[in-house]
Amino acid sequence: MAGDDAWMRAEMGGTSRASVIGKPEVVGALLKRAKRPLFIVGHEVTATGLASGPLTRFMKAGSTIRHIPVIATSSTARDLIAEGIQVAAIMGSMEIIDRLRDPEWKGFDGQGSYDLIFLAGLPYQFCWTLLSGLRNGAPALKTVTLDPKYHPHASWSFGNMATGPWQEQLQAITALLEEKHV
Amino acid sequence: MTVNRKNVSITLGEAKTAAGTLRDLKVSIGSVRENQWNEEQGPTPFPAHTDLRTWDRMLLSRYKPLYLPFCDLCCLCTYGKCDLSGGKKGACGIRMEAQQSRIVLLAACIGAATHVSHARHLITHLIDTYGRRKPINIGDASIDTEAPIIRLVCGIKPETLGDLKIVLDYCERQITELLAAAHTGQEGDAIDFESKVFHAGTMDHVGLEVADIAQISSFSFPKADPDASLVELGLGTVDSTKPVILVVGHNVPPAIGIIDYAREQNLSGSIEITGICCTAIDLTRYDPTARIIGPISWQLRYIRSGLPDLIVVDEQCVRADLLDEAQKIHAPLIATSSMNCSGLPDRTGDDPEEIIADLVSGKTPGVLILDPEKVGEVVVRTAMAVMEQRRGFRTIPTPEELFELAKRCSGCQECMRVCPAGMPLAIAMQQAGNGDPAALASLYDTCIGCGKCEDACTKEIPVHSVILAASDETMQSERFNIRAGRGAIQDIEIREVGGPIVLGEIPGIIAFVGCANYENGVAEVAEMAREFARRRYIVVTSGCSAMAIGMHRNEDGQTPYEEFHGRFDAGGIVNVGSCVSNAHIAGATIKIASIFAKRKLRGNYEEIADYVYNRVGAVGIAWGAMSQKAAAIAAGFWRLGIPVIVGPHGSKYRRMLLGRRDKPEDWLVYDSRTGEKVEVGPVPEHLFIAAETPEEAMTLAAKLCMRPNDTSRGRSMKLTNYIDLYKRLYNQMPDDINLFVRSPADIPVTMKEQILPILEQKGYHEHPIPNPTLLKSQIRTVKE
Ligand code: SF4
Ligand code: SF4
Ligand code: SF4
Repeated sequence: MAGDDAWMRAEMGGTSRASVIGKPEVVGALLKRAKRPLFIVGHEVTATGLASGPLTRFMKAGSTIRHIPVIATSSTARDLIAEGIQVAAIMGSMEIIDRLRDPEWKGFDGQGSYDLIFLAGLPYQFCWTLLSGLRNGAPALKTVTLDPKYHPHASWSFGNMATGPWQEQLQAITALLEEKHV
Repeated sequence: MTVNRKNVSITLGEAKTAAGTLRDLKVSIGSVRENQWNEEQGPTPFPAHTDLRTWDRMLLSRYKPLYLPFCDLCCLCTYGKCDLSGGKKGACGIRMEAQQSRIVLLAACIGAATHVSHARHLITHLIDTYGRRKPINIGDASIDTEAPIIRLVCGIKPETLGDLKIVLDYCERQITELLAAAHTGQEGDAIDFESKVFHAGTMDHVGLEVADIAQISSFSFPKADPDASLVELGLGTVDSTKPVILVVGHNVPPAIGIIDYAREQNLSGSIEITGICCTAIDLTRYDPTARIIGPISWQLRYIRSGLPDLIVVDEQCVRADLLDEAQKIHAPLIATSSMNCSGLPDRTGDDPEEIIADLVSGKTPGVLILDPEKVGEVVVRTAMAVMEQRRGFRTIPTPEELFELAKRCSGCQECMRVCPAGMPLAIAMQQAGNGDPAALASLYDTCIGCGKCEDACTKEIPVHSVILAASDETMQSERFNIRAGRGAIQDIEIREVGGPIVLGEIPGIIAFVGCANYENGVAEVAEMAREFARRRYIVVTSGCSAMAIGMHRNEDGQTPYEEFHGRFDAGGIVNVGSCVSNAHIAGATIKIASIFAKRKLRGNYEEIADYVYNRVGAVGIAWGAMSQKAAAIAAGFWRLGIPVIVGPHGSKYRRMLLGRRDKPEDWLVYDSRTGEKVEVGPVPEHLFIAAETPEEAMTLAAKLCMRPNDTSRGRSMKLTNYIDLYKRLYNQMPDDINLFVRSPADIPVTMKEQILPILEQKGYHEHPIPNPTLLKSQIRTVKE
């Protein structure tokens, strides 16, 4: 399967497309440049991500080493907390996107707006529309999807991947965080 | 003398002429007579979109659209395609935001046009059958306000079927104008498009009301009956020893033609009439022995089961490939509506004998018949004649075939890449190929029966049918029930619950409407409905959502319709009927303003909407909503100030209407007693929002039931439900309680210990409960 066509076949929505995260250093570089990154984690992470470990480890490393706030949409919070991840806030994804597109919004901590958003565990088509909302409403914001499905509306996305290689990529990104403190 | 604005209608108490004195002269041009309704005419009878634009903009300044373009391109004219992403304008000058709202307008116009044309078909047929003077009667003595939406919007009190024609003329004019505004080079402002969307929604609600009050008045449907009979639901209820007829769609006259013909010929007990979608709901309002198979997503599975001997389609929500599917099981198909001719020859004028002969011999796979009575005869006689010869044709594989088909699977995942329910099809198929179909069978409840997987399969596996084969037993044993659609809410019910609702002591009205498609849609809608009924909200429902609620049993084996009563009162689950019966849900909120609060209804939209918005804690949940009709229905609710929550796929409606609870300045109202502007907090916080999970939807719904007018007792009850649901689903306290507490009396007594520390930490300021309004016109003068 081609790695960089939308996971859902009919989702061809525009003239620009997300760059594929070819190697972990890409995310490392994004993290290095970012001043105010943020995780948005949807409920599907429970089925696809948490049990498999590497995504959880990445989020944990991100939140402890880089102090990236983790925002849980819906009941995801319960499961994240059970995995030992500190949840900064619970908020529905539509409400989060609505705030992120507002240049005046000062963030969950009142310290200013965000510049890099990681998304994981949101239903594909729901995430598709959220990303489109951000791309059009907050063009300066960089978005990265962490699921193993290609999302054209993100700035950066993994290609369509099998679980094994995807987990390896996440592990490598986590290592960059843990070892090189990107 | 009263002059009706759009249809000249003059009543003179006394007039002196050369010929003498005339008393009580009535002149009517157009078809609505001035009648006994002596309520003073309000400011906006038969409003144009611009007449309510100020109200719309008030709402839209609080609930700003969040656009989620489903496509960056515009392809509507030959200037294009235009790429509107990244702030680019189209060749016509339009920007992305306006373009998105334009698409929303198109969807809402399609939806409104569909309901209004459905109403037109019904009215034309009913007037032909019963005459234009047939009185409107939807609840005998239990209902005085027979048409709250029409009274409110149009400023008239319709008394006969003939009166409804003028209402439809108005709707058709308005929808045409709204549609015209979407033409290239017309409207270019996103907020004005949104206001037009609201207007399309209002037209939709008027059309719904016309359709349902006309059919209730003409057919022997339940008339506002809280104890309407329980009717059978589910594929397992079908008696296949009889010829089985399937009706699909929304416009019930052809299906009623079938029942009437069977009755006339004493064949009622000899045929089985079954239905899918709203025609089924309306059919059981006419004849409780008819059976509902299920919602829209049951079309393929039921037909492929081979049970139906003959298929009748009318309009709306009918799959475009039913003729193909029907042919595969050798069942003739009868199309009955100009909305959906299915490419079939029009045999309306032909002798029934000839039509039946052609259908039975297979000379033609189907016919178009536009006369409901003729449909009745042809359908009953053909079904009886073809039953024997076609039985045995089904397209669901046998267990052996299942195994052989599943073995072909290469695991390419192409099916998964089109499946809207996002199901793990490849692995399930491969397990079935290895002899274990359990995983495949478990997908049955989640599958929405779209069939896309089959076209995508690289190994030509009929994936959907293979799922059905694995779950054949489950499918065949579906036996549930549903309370037949009762129609309107009685005036007395409104009088009794009006106070508790407006004061907040009944925590809210939750309406489950629209389709119940989408992954777990059926189970999730049923569970949410039970949760709110248990919490003593008033749960109202209609259409496929009403069916979904019925397709569920509790631990004691009861369906929700057996478990909960059908009165419009706390703890009820109230099925009003089909999609067009949604009018009664909006109508009930309007009647609270008019019957309970004695506000004037006539042509008085803004004041009533302001009342409903600030006082009536109602929320709609359209969990599996997918159609343009659902968009139009929702728009009608938005304009009345009633929030609507959709499921995750509802994000594809491409724009939300969201409030910002972190901006206190957005939440000011006038206190109508003093004219002062006061802060009331974010109630209700949003007007339209997609939720990711049922948990999110339920906590949102509980929260969105709060209104500025809640008494402290009412607010504390609403908060109790919100916090309790939130804690149960999220395992922690919500972090926004401080925004909803206006005084210590609002704090639920049993939760004081948990809430006080949060209030201390977050701070809150006490403010009095105003007599809330957004309208300056509602501020009383000091003297009053
Ligand atoms: S309507 Fe406007 S934006 Fe759309 S294709 Fe035509 S010129 Fe382009
Ligand atoms: S028919 Fe069912 S399994 Fe197939 S694509 Fe549609 S929802 Fe998915
Ligand atoms: S598309 Fe067909 S072959 Fe490919 S995984 Fe799905 S069922 Fe198997």
